[in-house]
Amino acid sequence: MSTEKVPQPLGEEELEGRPTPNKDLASAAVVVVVAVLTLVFSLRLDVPGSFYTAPGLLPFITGFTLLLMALMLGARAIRAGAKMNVAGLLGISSRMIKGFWSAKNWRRPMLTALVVTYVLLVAFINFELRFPTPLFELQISSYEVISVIMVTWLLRTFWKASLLRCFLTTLITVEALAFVFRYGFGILMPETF
Amino acid sequence: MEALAQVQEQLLLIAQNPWLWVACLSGVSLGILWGAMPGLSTTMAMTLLIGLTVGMSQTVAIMFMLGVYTGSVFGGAISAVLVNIPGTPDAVPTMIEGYALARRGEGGLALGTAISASFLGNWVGILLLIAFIPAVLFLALQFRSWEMFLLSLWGIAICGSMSSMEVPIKGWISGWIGLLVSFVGLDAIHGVSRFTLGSFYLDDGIGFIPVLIGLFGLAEILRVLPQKSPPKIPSDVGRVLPSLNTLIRYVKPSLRSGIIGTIIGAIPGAGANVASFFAYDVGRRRASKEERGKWGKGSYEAIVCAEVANNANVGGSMLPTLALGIPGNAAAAAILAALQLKNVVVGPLIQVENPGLIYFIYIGLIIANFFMYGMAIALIRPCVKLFSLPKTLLMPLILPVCILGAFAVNLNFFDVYVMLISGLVGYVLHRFGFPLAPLVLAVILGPIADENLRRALLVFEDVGVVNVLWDRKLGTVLLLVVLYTFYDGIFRRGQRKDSS
Repeated sequence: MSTEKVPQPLGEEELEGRPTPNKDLASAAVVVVVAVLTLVFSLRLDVPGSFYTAPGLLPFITGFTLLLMALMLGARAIRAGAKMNVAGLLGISSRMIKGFWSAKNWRRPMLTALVVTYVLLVAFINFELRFPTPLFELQISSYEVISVIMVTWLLRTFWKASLLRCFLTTLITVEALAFVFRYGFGILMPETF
Repeated sequence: MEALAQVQEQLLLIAQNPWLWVACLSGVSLGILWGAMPGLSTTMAMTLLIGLTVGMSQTVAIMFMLGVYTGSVFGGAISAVLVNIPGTPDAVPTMIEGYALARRGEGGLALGTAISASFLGNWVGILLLIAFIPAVLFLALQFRSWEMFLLSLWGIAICGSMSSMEVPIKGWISGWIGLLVSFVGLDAIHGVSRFTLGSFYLDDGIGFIPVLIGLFGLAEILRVLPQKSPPKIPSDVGRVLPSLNTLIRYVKPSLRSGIIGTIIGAIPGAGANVASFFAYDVGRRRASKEERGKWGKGSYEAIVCAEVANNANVGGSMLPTLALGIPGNAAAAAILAALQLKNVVVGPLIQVENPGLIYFIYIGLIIANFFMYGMAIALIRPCVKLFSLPKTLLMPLILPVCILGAFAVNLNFFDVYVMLISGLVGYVLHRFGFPLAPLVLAVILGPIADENLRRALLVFEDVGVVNVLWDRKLGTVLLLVVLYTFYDGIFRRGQRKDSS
């Protein structure tokens, strides 16, 4: 069925998601902490009825088995050559943080910051503009205004087209989406009310 | 004979009313378009589009919703294959295989195969149900609390194994983290607040839709957009429909996956979400050595297995919904709501109170299936062209859809925060090589597992473990299967890897 294709070289996507023994060891350490916290919190839950219906029963079992899995993952990572010392684990964390924030790799932190800002702006700025027209009342919400500004910014940064083109593309997409949701399904636009 | 007369009566009713055809076609079109939009899911389509049925007559409304259901299940495959963002957790196997093929320039054929498999899956599901309604229902009803718990656990385990084939333990860890997320909120039996940190927003628990949108939608944006050379889908569509020979080659896996999809899909609650992963896993085990090597890297047979099961459970999930009033999955729950809106009381008396309705619904599904096939073939080329646009253009435009999608389910901005956090967590998990599908599946199955385990243990308290294992043979078989899944993942797969 499939025609013969030249295999593509690994892209950034595959390389960055590729696990290494050190990464596995670091993640096992984090999972151990999560599992232990789960065990502690599940034991602290009330038991209103029988032991068999205790609200913390399955969370406890889940925490315990998660702990076992994390230990197995850690052991596997050490067998594969991961360094088991605090300095090594901290080293992975600091390398990842440096890699994330490095001046060379500014695109990802900037994107993350823009996305978080976008969500927070939609959450905290709430208004609605209403313009009566002969056919219907045109409504423009804060979500649409913020979306047009933020997505235009994202497009300008990553797509690198002219500002006008980015703005028009965003405006048409966001307004079409808002129109369908608002007038088609009667859904309110996102805001914190 | 009585059943045949009812089928004839319903056929006549449908043939005489053109509005039913129009409603079905509109539903299918809206469903496909909705499902194809990255960040919007089948459940959301069903929930929001119920509003449009208010002014429709009973039969027209049912036909419309069946169209939406069928269309949106397939629509999810379009965004899964071309953008790597699935509409529902069941579309994850299709996403794993289809996206790999799309990046090789075979997106059109991957979608064509998915459509043909969906078409076939719907047929297998509907025909099996019409022929074996009592048998399938009997089998589905054998799943009581203990079996439901084991089925949910197995679903997560198998999803973990399949989505992290080299290191299944990472898939399971991801699933177990999802279980922990699902425990947040008021516990269903005693109403005790669990892991809410005193926040009343968390009392209702964490919904799976914002988690799904965050993990697959936002995390994908965070992953792909900053890349200097983001992956591109070639715009050359090429061949779309698989040849007849190819289809014949996949008859066996199709039938097998159809049976799996129908039976597992008919199990109330957990079934529909587990079906496609189960069929995907069984398909890999039964595939030839050469084909098995392609699994996870772009296998057409894998797409067939997952899509046939995924679509067969559309019919399957309708059975407990109609016959017992227990929805097979979230989308079927929306159908249930639409029926109740039209004063149709579903449950064991459905055949008495609404004679012929079950047959009307199955005929409706068949018609929707034909419309879905035609619409989907017509939409493949424009969809491939659309999604082959640069990712730097597409991804920012998906972002407002993700926010709107997360918000629209409950009209609650807290869900948008959940989506944001899920996206950030999903990105980190991806960086560390953890698959995301088991996490989402566990968020859905966690409450089912939790409630059913405690109910089962309460029943077992007086009976004793040995008697339980002896009396509940289906449960014992499932328990052995769960244990084997873990054993296979930990020991056998490790040995195979070492020897290779």
